[in-house]
Amino acid sequence: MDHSLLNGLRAIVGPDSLVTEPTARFAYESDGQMLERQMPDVVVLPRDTAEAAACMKLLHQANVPLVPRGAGTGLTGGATPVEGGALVGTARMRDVLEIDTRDRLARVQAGVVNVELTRCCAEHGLFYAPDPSSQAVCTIGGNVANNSGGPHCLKYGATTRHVLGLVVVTAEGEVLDLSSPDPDPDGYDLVGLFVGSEGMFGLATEITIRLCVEPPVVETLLAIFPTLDACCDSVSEIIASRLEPSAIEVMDKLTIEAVEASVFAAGYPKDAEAVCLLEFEGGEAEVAATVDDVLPILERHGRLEVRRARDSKERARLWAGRKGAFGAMGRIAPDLYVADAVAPRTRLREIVGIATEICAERGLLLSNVFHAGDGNLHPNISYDRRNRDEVEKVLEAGELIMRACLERGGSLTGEHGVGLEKREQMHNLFNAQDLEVMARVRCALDPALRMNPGKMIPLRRRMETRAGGLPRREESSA
Amino acid sequence: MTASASEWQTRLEAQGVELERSPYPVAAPEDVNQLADVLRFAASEKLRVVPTGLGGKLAWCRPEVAAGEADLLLSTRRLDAVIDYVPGDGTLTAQAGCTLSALGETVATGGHRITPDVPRPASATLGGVLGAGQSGPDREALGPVRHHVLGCHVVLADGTTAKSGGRLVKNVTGFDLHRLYTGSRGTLCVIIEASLRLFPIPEEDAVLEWQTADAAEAIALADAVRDSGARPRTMTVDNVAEAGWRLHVGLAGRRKQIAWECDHLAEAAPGAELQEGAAARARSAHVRDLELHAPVALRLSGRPSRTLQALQSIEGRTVLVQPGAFVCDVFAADDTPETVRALRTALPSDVHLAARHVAPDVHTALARDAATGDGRWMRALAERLDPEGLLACPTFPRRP
Ligand SMILES: Cc1cc2nc3c(=O)[nH]c(=O)nc-3n(C[C@H](O)[C@H](O)[C@H](O)COP(=O)(O)OP(=O)(O)OC[C@H]3O[C@@H](n4cnc5c(N)ncnc54)[C@H](O)[C@@H]3O)c2cc1C
Repeated sequence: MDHSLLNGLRAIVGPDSLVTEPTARFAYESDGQMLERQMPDVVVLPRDTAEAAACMKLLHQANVPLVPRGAGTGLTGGATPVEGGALVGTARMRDVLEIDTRDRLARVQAGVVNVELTRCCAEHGLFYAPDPSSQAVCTIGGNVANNSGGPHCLKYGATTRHVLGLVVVTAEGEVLDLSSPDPDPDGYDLVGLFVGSEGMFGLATEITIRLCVEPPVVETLLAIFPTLDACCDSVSEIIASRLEPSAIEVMDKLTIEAVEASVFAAGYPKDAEAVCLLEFEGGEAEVAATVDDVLPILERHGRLEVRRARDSKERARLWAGRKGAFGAMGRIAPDLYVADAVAPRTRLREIVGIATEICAERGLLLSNVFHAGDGNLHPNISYDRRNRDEVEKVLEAGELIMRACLERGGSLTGEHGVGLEKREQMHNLFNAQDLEVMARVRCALDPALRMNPGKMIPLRRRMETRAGGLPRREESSA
Repeated sequence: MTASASEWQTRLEAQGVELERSPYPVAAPEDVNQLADVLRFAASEKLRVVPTGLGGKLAWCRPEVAAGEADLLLSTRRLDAVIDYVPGDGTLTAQAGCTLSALGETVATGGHRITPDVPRPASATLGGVLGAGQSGPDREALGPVRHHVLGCHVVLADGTTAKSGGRLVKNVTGFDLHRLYTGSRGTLCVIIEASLRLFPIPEEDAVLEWQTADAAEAIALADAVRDSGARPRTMTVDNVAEAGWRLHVGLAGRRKQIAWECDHLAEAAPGAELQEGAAARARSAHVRDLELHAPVALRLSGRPSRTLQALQSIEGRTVLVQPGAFVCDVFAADDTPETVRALRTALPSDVHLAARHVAPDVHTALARDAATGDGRWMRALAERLDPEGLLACPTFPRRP
């Protein structure tokens, strides 16, 4: 990379925040999806919006591709710099700028770690609801870019329902405040559009977040099932009965075994075929009534036992097992392919069954741990990335599971995003016109297509876009 | 516009399109293909098109229609099929011309209800509500309408049909264009179909109403309710009635919980009149429909803690307020560019002021500049999705 550009960046962020050494840049060559890697030419770690804007202006003038990065826990290659260029990380943007307990909102820098935000407002009886299992590490900026979810998003909704405002640095280095005080904004909902845009519209540097009030009562149940099918069916019936637990998570036998053999051991029964972790939040009478309605459903589907967390310590232990499940799978094989699919909640058992078949046919080891309440499945395949043959089979299985989901009214991703991993699969869900409209929107906000290139929009579509196939108002009326 | 109005109208009718000519030309295509054809026709004739449902929100969404600055209204009212109601998944997919009351009846068969709970649901179409980005008082508990749109099919100005999102309650595949379209007032595309997340019909409804001496007392009571541990479905403060100010709180949910909340609120915020069951639902509908009491001229919004200060700065005006999110509809008075500028100065600087039913010059006085900040992104989006400006509005999202 050009020396004068590097010097310019160094002058803005200081020498400690510019990573140029190959050994240090190596750490940024992928996110949690490590099948595709590419080193960035440089890593810049600005301290605030002004530094980010100044750096991005220089990089714009030099026409360098830009890849935003939070903690790098993404699972689809979203933060992988496939076209090289500059990786702009938010690791030094870690300040909680404001907590307004009266209006129940917080303003944070993009690099604030998810769980840190709740820690900061817990003493006021407030919390930040979206709780990805990676919440001890992932950043609010990454959550915004991926519209991340978590177990409690069943009740509270994914990230997009909690973002009130954004300060964004555009590809050209311009600072935009997208916040609107009106919940139904007087203008286009740019915040809603930005959330889930996977770093392709700009770098979010400051985020205004809605905080939720701690519920008066929380009840946590662990239902133990003799089969995974029965577990899935009970979830489908709870949803069809319009009952509203705040979280419904399912784990299968292999997951339970891995968790129980790990530091996350939660006391799940090792001989169970599946467990369902259910949480209920709200007023005392409301929680009691919903639990009363759920218990007979679990019973009808043959649950072996239902355990109740007696206190917050037991509750925390049950959740530690669920949140540590992905980490625990490391005991089974060196690598884990975490598929992220969505299905209508009426068809959980069917999709899980198909995933089991697909993996069995290929001799692959499948485990299931998923946000069953919102139909967001994670069929996980354990493998060893050094075994090329196995990698091929894993990718093939992943794609077949996804196709089966789509054929049954499902979708490609419920929370991890499209990124690199599912970019070409976008053709399976969207037709050329759908993709063209997405490409037009991208072109509107980043005409040079320098923000996080190579993600989400399939390659064929991007080439057409680059060739200037999309009209703009001035051009077409000229 | 190239041809005279009656010439192109005759040509459009010759294509088999149902067209009302007066007071404005309104085309009502019978299906999506015909709708796309009308847009292509309009593009070839260089007509200014305004998408609409049954027209109930045009006065504030598209003031250029009343000012005679639009050529053709394009109504989705004949696209009125329910495509898929999946009770087991709590989702609904329907064409844009369905009315909210028809959709409400459909999903009630499976124990569901629709948010937003908007005034006059029998004459509000799904496309119109989404296009206007209209939420109801249930926004207090359930959030604004755009949080519950799971996906959309749209037709762009050039006739291209495209979808975003899907029919699932959780889905992050592709950009959330349906959120962009919601509230875009038909300036980016015509919404032809949408999917919504549904909510259970509550087991019990109750309404509590307090008459108060002034706005300060009403807001203090609203704060007490908010901090009480009860979780109202709706909360509104208004001074529409002769009797003066009142706070209205709607509760909905599990029967025992609602009974507890009513008892609890009787202690935390004494003095309310209580209604339950059918009477509560009727009262809630009445309060929801207060929005129709007179044209809403202006809308204030900001952080909830600014509510009282803002109300005191506009003393004397008739208002309908949702203090939980702080959204305040100010009913029409004789607003002029000068009076709204004075209002702007009187209001706390972080309270936002937007125009609704006002004269074009008042609209212009409040329209923000398109060339700066987020206005630049809004303009760029409109230019990419509608290069010819067929659907463009002179005052929304920003002044050009
Ligand atoms: C063990 C494990 C468990 C997980 N569990 C969940 C889960 O339960 N739910 C869930 O939704 N996800 C989960 N994830 C996935 C991941 O943690 C989330 O997607 C998370 O939001 C990524 O945050 P990050 O800070 O690591 O972002 P990164 O991985 O660094 O980046 C993610 C994407 O966001 C972009 N980006 C990052 N910061 C910004 C910014 N400031 N502005 C613009 N774009 C930006 C990047 O370019 C990239 O495209 C899990 C991952 C792991 C490893």
